[in-house]
Amino acid sequence: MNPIQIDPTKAFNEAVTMQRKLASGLKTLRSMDEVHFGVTDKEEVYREDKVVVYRFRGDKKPTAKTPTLIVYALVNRPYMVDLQEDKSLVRNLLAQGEDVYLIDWGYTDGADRWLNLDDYINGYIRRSVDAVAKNAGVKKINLLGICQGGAFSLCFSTIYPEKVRNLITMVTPVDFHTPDNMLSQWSRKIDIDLCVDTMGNISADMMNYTYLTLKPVRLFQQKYIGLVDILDNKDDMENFLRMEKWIFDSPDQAGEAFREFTRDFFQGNKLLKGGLKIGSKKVDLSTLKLPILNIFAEQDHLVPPAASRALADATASKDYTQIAFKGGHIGIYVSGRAQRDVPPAIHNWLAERDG
Amino acid sequence: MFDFNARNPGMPDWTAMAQQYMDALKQASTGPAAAANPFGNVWPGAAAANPFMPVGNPFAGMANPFAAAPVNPFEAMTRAFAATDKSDGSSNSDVAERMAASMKNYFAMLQTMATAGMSEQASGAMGDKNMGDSNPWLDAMKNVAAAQGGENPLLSAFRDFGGNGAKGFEQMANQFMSSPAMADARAMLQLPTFGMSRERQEQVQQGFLALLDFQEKSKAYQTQMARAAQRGNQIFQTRLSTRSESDKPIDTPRAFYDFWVDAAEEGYAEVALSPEFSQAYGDYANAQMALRSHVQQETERTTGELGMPTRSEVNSIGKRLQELRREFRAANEAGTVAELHDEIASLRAEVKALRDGKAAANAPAQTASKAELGRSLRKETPRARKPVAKRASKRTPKAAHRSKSASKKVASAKAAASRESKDAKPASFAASIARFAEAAKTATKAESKATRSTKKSKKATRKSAAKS
Repeated sequence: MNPIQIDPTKAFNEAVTMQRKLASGLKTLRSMDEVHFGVTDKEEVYREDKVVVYRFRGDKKPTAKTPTLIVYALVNRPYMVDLQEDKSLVRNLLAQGEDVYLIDWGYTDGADRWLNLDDYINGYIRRSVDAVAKNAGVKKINLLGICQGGAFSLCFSTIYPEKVRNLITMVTPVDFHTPDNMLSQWSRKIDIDLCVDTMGNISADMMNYTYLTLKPVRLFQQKYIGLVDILDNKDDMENFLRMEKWIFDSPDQAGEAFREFTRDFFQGNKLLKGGLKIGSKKVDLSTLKLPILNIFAEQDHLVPPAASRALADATASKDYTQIAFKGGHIGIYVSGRAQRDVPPAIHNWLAERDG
Repeated sequence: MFDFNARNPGMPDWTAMAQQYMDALKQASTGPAAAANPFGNVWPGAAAANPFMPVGNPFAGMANPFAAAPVNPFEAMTRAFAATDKSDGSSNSDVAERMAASMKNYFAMLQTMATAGMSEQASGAMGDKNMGDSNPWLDAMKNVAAAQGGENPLLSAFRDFGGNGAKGFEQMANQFMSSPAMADARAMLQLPTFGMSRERQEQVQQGFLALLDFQEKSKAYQTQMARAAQRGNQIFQTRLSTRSESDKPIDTPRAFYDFWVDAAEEGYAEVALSPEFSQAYGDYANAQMALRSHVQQETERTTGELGMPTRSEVNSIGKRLQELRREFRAANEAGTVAELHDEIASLRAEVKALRDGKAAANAPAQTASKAELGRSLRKETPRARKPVAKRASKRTPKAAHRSKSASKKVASAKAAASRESKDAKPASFAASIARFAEAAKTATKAESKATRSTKKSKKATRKSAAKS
C-alpha cells in the first residue's frame, strides 16, 4: 500500500484553510497588545553596574528561613522563570513558602566588553549573595543556578562554601564533552581568541542563530508553519508572542567572559576535568560537600541530560539528589507539567534542609 | 460542456471548492488590510476569468493556486503584516516576517505536490501507484529544492531567517567584494610589492587572501549542509518504504511535511555531530572572523586618517578602565583604602589636638571631643593608669583586684578604639570620626570607673589602716 494517500480534496481544503487563517491572522495580529511578562511583584535589594538583585513578593510571607537566590544564565533574560501568571517558577516557589531572590544581569554593552568570569562570579555573584544574606539576616543562602548560571553557581559554591547552605542546579552542563553535545562539538573548532578579538561582545543575533541551527528545520521553519494553526486565537497567539519575545530578547555576551567560558568550559571541559580557575580562585568540584539537587530535562537539545548527570560523581557531596524531568530545556519552566512538578520538588527538598 | 463530475462521481465538487477558495480570497481582500491586499497580485486577471471554472477536465482549466505568481502570497502577507504597526510604535511584524519566510518552503512544497497530485489525479493514477522511484509525491518532494531555484532547503531556511547573525557574513563579504578596497586589491595583486606602498599592498593582499579563504570555507560548509539534507532525504525515503501496513497512511500535506521534517532533522543531527561537519563549521566561522578582522583593520586605518577614534583605542581604554576598577575594588575590600582614611583621620585629630593645646587636654572627659580622639589615638594611655594600678596593688587584695579589673577595662576599651581605627571602612570620614568618638567615650567611661574604684580602694586602705 502506498504510505502517502493524500486526498486532493483534503489538500485543497488545507490550502483554503491556511489562506483563511492567514487572513484572519492579520486581524488578530493587528489587535494584539504588546505582550507582558514578569508577573510577580518584586523589590530591588541590590544594584551594581547593570546588575540588579530583586526579591519577589508573594501573597503570603515566606515560611522558609533561608532565602533562595536564582542565578540565571547570561544568555537570554531571566524573566523566563516568571513569564506569565500560569507559567511562573517564581510564583509557584513563593506559594510554597520560599523566599525568592533573582539576579538580573541586565543588557551588556560596549562598557562591559572586558568583564570576565572573575568579575561575574567572584564579583557580582559574591556581592549579590552577601546582599541577599544581609537582607534576610542570615549567614548562608540557597543558590538556584539555571543553565550557565548553574555552572556559575557550582563554581561559586566551591569557592565560597561558607556562604551557601544548599545548591540547586537546573539544566546545568557539567560535562561539556558528551558525544551528543552538538554545541560543544562545534565550539571546539572555533578560534575563540580570534572570534572575541574581532567581535568584542558577542552579538545576541549570532548566539540565537547558533542555537537555532541546532534544529534548523524545526526552529526556522516548522514552528512558524504551525503558527498558522493558532493565528485566529488571540490567547494562543499572545502566549506564542511572549515566548517569541523571550527567545529573541537576548543580551549580547561580554567578550572576555564569553572567551573564558568557551575556552575553559566548552573547549577545555575544566569544570569536570579540573584545572579551572576563576580569577585567582581554584575551582575543584571534588571539594564540594554541600547538599545538591540537580534537575535536568530528558529532551534537552541544548544541555543533553548526560552533560548534567555527570554532576552525580563529580562532587564530594553526601547529600546529592537528581531529578530527570520529562521535557525540554525551556519546557522545564513553562510547561504545564513543570508548573505541577518542579516547584514542589524544589520546595520539599529545601524544606528538609532549611535552617 | 464536458461534465467531469458525471464521469467521475466519486470526485469532489471542484466548482464548490473553487468558490470556497475565492471566498477566502475575497475575505482577505476586504479585510483590514484591504488597502494593501496581500493577494491582489497573486493571480492577475483572476476576476475577469475565473480560473476555477471547469472547462472539460477541471484540472486542465484550473489555475494551480500554488503556481508561481508575480508576488508570493506569503511575501505579500508579510508586507501587510508589516503595516500592522500600532500607534504605540510596537509591531508584531517580526513574527509575521519570520512566519512568511518560513512558509516559503512549505508553500513551495505544496506547490510542487499540488502540481504532481493534480496531474496524477487527472490521469487517474493517484493512490494506486506502488511505492517506488516514480512515486509522484516523492518526485514532487525532490523537486521542492528545484522549485526554489535549486537551492538546498536547509540553507534556504537559514537564509530566510532574519537577523544580522545570519546575514552579516555574506553581506559583508559581498560588500567587500564590490568595495573600492577590493577593486584596489585586485589591481594591486598584479604588481610586485615594494617601495613606499609596500606595506599597504601587502595588507590588501592579505585581505584578498582572507576573502578567498572565506569563500573556500563557505563552500566546504555548504557541502556539509548539502550532505545533511541528502542524509535527511535518505532517512525520509527509508522510513516511507519501511512503514508497515498498520501504520496510518499520510493523508494531508501537513502530515507529509511533518514527516519530512522529522527525517530532515534526524539526518541533519547525524551529520552535524560528525567530525567533518564540526571541522567545516569551525573553519567557516574562523574564516569569517579573519575576514571581519581584516575589514575592521581597513576601516580603522581609514577612520584613523580622518582623525576619528578607532575601535582599538576604545578597546584599550575600556580594558584599562576595567583593570582599574578591579584593582580599586580589590584594594577597597582588602582595607588598604580604609587604612589610608584612618591615617588621615588620625593625623587630622592630632593636629587639632595640638592646636587646641591645654584647652583640649583639660576638656571634660565625657564630651569625647576630637581632642580626646586625638589623645586616644596617641600612645598616651598607660601614664594615667599605672600609678593607680601600682598604688592599688599595695592595698587590700580585694581593692587591688577591683583596681586591676578597672585597669583591664580601660585597656580593653582603648584597644577597641585602636581596632576601630584599623577596621574602619572608607565609607566617609565623618562616619570614622563618629566611631572613634564612640570608642573614646567608652574608654573615658572606663577610666572614670577606674578612678572611682581607686578612690574606693583608697578609702578601704585608710579604714584598714585605722583598724590596725
